[in-house]
Amino acid sequence: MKKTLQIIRYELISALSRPSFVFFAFGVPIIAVLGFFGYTLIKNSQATEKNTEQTQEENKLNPEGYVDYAGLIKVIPSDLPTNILVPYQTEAEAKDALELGEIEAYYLVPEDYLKDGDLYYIHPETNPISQDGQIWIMRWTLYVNLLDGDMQAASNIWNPGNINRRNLTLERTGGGSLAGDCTTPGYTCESNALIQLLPIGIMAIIYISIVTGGSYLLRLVSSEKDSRVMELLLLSASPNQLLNGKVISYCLLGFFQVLAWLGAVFLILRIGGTTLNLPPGFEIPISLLVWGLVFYVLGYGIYASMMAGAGALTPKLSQYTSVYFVVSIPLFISYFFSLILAMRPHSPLAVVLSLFPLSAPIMMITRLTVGGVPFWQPALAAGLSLIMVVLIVRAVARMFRAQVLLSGQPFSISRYIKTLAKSQ
Amino acid sequence: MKQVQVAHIAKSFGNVEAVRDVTFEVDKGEIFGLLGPNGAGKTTTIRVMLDIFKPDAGTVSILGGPMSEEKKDLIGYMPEERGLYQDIPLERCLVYLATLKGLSANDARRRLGDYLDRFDLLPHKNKKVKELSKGMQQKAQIIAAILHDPELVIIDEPFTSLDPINTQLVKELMGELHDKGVTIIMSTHQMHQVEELSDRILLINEGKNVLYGNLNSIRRDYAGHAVMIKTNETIPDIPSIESIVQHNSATKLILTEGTSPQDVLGALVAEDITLDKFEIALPTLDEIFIKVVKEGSEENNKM
Repeated sequence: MKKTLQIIRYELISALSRPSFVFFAFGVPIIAVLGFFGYTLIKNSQATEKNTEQTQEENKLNPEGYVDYAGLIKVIPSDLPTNILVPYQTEAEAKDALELGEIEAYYLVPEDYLKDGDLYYIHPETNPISQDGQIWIMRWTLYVNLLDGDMQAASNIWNPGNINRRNLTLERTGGGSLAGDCTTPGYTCESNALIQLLPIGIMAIIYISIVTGGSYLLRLVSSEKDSRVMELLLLSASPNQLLNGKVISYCLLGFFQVLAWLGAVFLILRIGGTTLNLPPGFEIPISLLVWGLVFYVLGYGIYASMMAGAGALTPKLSQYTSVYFVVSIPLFISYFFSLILAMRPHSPLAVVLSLFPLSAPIMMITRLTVGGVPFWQPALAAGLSLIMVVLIVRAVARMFRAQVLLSGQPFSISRYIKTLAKSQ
Repeated sequence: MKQVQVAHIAKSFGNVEAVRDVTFEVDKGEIFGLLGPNGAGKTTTIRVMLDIFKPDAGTVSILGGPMSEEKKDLIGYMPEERGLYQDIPLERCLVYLATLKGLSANDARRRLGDYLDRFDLLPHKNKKVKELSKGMQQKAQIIAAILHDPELVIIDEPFTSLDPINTQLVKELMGELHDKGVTIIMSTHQMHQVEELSDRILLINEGKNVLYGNLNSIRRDYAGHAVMIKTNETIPDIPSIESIVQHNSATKLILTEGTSPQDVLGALVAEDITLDKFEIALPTLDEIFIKVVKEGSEENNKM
């Protein structure tokens, strides 16, 4: 145990002394958070300016007139600025006012408006963009008046359903609506692609971390073999101590790396709630983070051990890239499937893949991020993955014998699988 | 007490027989020379001895039995080349390897300081190993093998890349370890280094024992018909002397078949030659090795 701890300590210090590792694991998420924070500040200041301009614009809302031949308009909604709509008895009066510059345009509500629904907007400009500039004011007024002045009913019709969407099983912690969202008349609403990309984003973080951690381990074992340090290590510690020390240390490093990356995502979502136009109270559930870390550790245990085993069979450091590619194929395939199945997370294939240990770390996270997965499924997947970890670590520890490590035979998939099976 | 007992070990890799039949024993506290040309099977023999490889045949007993995790801490090993992490500072590398041998990091650091100072490596302790010269790396490897005060030290080609001064330094260090009762197995193809240091040797060739035993006995066994003399006078024509070879300050007299050293001594005395030195000319290990290997090749050709 003491030697395992020494190996863990050494590997942690060595990895943390490598600027490339530190930058990738911790520098990138910090830069991302700082960058996003800066972006948010700039965007907020621009938004403030825009709001000011908008307010000025609102103050500049020009009075318009209307002629109500249908006799519908009894009240002007109280949330509109006063004198924004000026009533006229006849079109001639309205036209005179327009010519005198008292109003910018006027509406004509025909007598048979209720039958045809036609409404006329008379204005002197031909600019198509400015034509609709204020027309929502008359529409809103008609809504309210058609409903006998009931502004709440008009608002419900304006925004029917008032749907509170809960994407990604996200928890809404705050109520109400933000100014500028889809529920308020007069504003447009942007669709939010970010929420839909989040499952893929989180799964990509897990994937990248497992892949990079496993690759570091494969490279480390290959380089120790190449430099013959392995001979000294085998004469100082047991194969189990060596393998456990290396796998645990890189698992810890990966764990903190994933934590940093997920933390960065979490912070960005918190900082960027309004910047990214996220739903109010948007946040990643803690349960998702916990499952994420559980499946990360299990996935890492499986793939890092497999990489270490491959490293044990790789005679030369120069062969590392091709060996790495071969061993990471199952992970790549599950990543590929998860991209396809992210939109159908509860299809039978997605469920099966999320339970199968080699694809579970990626697929289950994808499904959990989308939501609606019954608890027994991640629990079963975690149990199966744990059994797989134990079997693989045991097999690879047996492969970690000098006989295999120093044999110098070339790497091949068949030899790898044969040795892995023989070691069980 | 026997520190190492190797009996009839054999090891093959595919179709290549690296070791065919090697047997030897090493006593406690001796410096044992494991000799042979490149490719003779020395390194494979060491790896089998250290349980890095399992032998295909034969048995190994080390420190009184099979290799165990506890025994690993009592053994120091220096592989033939490299064997150190290249991308980390020298001090961290050596301290780590020592802690894996059971030393505390503080003790390792303290002992390391003394050795680094002695080997002129102290100013380089924070440099990455790959930034050091080959000779410096060789010295660092030797330190890695002895830092934890092992009972048994196995060093493979210890003098490679060392200049004469550092070679002498390493020889002195081995002498000190020998005085402290440490058992040393030194594998090399540099025969003259072994002649100076070893008590007993095993010479292997093509994976088999060729010569094994006390170094002086072996040399005596291989002593040919020759004597070394030192004299200031001209050597007269004596029928029993086949030829005369100048050998530094001495003269080597090659004797004819059937002549004994006593016969020549008698003849020289009879000629009234004043002798400062008269001794049987012992062959060097190089000479013995060449002779043995040639004989072996001739036998193989006959078969």
